[in-house]
Amino acid sequence: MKHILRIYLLIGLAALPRASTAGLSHLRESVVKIYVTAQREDFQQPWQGGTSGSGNGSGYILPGKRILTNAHVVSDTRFIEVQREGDTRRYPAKVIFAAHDCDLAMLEVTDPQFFDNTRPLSLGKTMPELNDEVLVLGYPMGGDRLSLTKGVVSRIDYALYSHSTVDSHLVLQVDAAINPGNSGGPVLFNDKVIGLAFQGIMASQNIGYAIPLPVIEHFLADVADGSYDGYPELGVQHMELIAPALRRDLGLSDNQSGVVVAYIDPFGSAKGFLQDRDVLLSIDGYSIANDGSVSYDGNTVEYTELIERKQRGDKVKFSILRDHRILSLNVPLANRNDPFLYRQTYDEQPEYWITGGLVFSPLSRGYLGMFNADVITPAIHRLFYYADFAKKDRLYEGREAFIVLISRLPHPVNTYCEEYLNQIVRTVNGKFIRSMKDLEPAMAAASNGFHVITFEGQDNPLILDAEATAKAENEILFRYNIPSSSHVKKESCP
Amino acid sequence: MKPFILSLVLVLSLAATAFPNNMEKAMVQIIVTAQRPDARLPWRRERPVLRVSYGIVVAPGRILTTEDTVRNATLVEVQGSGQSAKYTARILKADPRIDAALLAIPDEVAGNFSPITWDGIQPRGTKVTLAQFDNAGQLQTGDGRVSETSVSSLPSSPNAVLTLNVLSDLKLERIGAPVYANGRLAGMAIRYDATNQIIEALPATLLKRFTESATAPQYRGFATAGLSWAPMIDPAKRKYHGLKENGRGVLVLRTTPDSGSARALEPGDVILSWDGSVIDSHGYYMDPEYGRLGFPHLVSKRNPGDTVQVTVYRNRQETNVTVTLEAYDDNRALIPQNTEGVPAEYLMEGGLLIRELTADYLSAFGNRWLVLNSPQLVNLYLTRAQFPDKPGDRVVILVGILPDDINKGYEMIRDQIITHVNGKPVSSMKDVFSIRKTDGGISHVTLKNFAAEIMLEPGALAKANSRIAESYRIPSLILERKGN
Repeated sequence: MKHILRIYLLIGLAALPRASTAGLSHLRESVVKIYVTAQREDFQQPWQGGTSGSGNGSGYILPGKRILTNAHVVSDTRFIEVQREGDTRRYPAKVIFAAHDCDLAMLEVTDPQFFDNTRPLSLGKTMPELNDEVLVLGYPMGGDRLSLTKGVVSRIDYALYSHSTVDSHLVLQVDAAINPGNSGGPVLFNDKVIGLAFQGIMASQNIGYAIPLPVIEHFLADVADGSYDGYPELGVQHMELIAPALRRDLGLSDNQSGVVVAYIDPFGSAKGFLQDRDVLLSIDGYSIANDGSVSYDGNTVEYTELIERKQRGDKVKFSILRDHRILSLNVPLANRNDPFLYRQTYDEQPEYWITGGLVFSPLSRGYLGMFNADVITPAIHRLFYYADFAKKDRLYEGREAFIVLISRLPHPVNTYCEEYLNQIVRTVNGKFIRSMKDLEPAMAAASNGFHVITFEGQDNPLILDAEATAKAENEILFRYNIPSSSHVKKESCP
Repeated sequence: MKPFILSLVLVLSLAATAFPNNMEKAMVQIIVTAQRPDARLPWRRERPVLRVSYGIVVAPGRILTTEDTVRNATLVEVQGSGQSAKYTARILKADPRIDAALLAIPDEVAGNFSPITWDGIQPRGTKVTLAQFDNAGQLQTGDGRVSETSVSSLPSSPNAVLTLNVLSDLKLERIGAPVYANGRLAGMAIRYDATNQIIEALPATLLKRFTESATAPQYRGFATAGLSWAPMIDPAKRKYHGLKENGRGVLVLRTTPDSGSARALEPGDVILSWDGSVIDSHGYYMDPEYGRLGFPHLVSKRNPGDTVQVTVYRNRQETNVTVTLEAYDDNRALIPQNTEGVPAEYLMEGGLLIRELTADYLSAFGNRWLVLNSPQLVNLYLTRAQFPDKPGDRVVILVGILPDDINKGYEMIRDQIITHVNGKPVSSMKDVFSIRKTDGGISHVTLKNFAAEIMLEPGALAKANSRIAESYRIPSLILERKGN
């Protein structure tokens, strides 16, 4: 029994290259291996970089001597090299565009020789259907030879892009395994690129996820002008319009359909255009059903998918019902760099400011990522609550960031400050703290020789002796080997 | 020769009192069947659980045990050592604030047991004897000593009370077991740490006061001060408040609105002495009997209604104020503890389940309640539970919606704070009930930070209610207490 199994296996493995080499050998000239050395940020001690490590991913050659890969492959990297199969040389490369909201990045290779005898792949025109056979290419598990896996399209749906931690876009699910190293490798249908392999599920086998064609097209169109702007956000939460009493209250007739605006994001494009309790009847001429779906290209999709296909600066046309009157409204799509979105950041040193051994830093997804959500304390709970409900519960008002006391470098001036760790600063010496930039001037204005720092939800302020603190500054920096007492960005948020 | 004989007699009598001959008859096993109400579907009861603890006969026919033993009990039975008969017991009083309950058994069987005598103060180092039943129902004793006296919060209550930590070689099987010193009752075990073999016990002084109060015509309970405070150890903080670096005093942070503390104390006051005892910067005082103790004991040792003299440092001056102590009133909280798990008032209208937020609602998720509950509700609890804007305010929440034709499109909404009902502001279930009464039903619910209201067809409400009651098998769509 064992023997038969082994023979069968061998035949199976051997059969694959033989059947595919004929038509697919040129793919070796199109799919590259990417070597990276990455260094993550240290959100606890932001003045120093985190530990570094090396890894690899895949990418494919675009027309115009560029390489497309995943943003997560090249994020936080200090050094990138690319290599073609069969070429021993590794060529240094650099990132020219990184789109963290959709996990795509474009690389450039300094030495043009790299592109000799390579063949760019072109994008497909249409997406495959369910059960269509696709090929996944790449260099999984560190191998040097191109790997090819066949699979079928199992599902096309919205899903969270784990690289950004907050953005959801379309995702192509295939039943071919996608392993570490596969990331950035193209997914082909009829020899054309229709996806880019990017994430898998830890607990399940034979499920791989790829970034589908529309997202790649969106990225390429976005960077065509030389900069990446990112997906615009409409910033509207809606409620289905089924209840007759609510429909009547809003003035909807039986033959009208739509959804009602329940919340408008202060940083979204809709702010200033749409209002609470507006009924969205149609978008760009497509009628919105009572569950928020539209019929588009023969498919039933969420109305927000029409916005997914647009770029910043594009307009979206809504027909709405406001105060029982039908209005037509053009909403220009913006991307307002929302500091309260708590998207994971990359290639950016976290801001910090140190005084008296107390380290202040803005709340960020990276900082929250240090805590195991299962064993949180009330203070950590508050951090997660402020991040998740900053806008909904209007906690952000008057602020550009939530400033957190992230750590204490022990010194006699701060011996009794341990209980304030992970609290959100409210005022310093009576001044409300809106951003990191407010800390230094507020701290300069001590009253009666003391610094008084209050925290959100805390009745007991932190007190520092101003003179003793000033005396201790250099000693603390020296003792804890900190090159600079601050890293605070100059420009303010738009 | 005479002195020798005398001392021999003394020794013998001491030995005799260390093992009282009625120990076996002063202790019982308590068997409880309990059913917690389902916090999320309040007309439901969770599966019955069986609890077995010990009880101590403190007076003829009166048995003392812990409050959590008899919480939500549907049946309480008492069984003597080695006896097969079980007697049904009645709960006279259970107080979660000190984790004690007093039970009564029928007079005709009271004679089968004999009560303990109370011991006084047990300072650290007191030698004690612990007792429990073995598997055969026989008395089993073990030696121990009081290793620590401390003021700590109980598992059932955020209020701190005096407890004795007893180190013993007895592997305690159940709580409620008696702790004896000199043959008299010195305490009752309320917690057992099996790894370190430490038994936490309530002292006799507290238990005796509880028993007396529970058998009096009106239960007085234990005093609280209604204030939150913080130590004043940090020299910088002390200097900022104008105090000496190594002095005494703790800082008043907040007082419960409308409480005795609120009338006498102000946030920012530094409490220098309380009820005649000097308070150090950690919040300890020197107790003449127990040694260094947390000052909350000075509060809980008093009775509600007592007034105490407090010296505070306010506006850089020592000031004497009088604080009237009160019994803790859970009804005053914005988010009541409801430790006993009294079934919550609720209204089920058009499939919308409306109730007030309580701590036991949040704790229904168990150990991971911080993570599993709505972050908004948890944050409110962590920051404002004891501090309503005005007395009587509560947090009215929409627990969830039982799907039905009348509420289609809303089914997914859950754990939201309700601000208005039928367009009128609500800050308690009392408001909700009275609006429903006046308007003849609830057809319009506004949620906090949510622009689109929930609207139900008023004409379809009556039919929907009976349909929902029938299909979800809800015996009563409303639970309203008389007090309202």
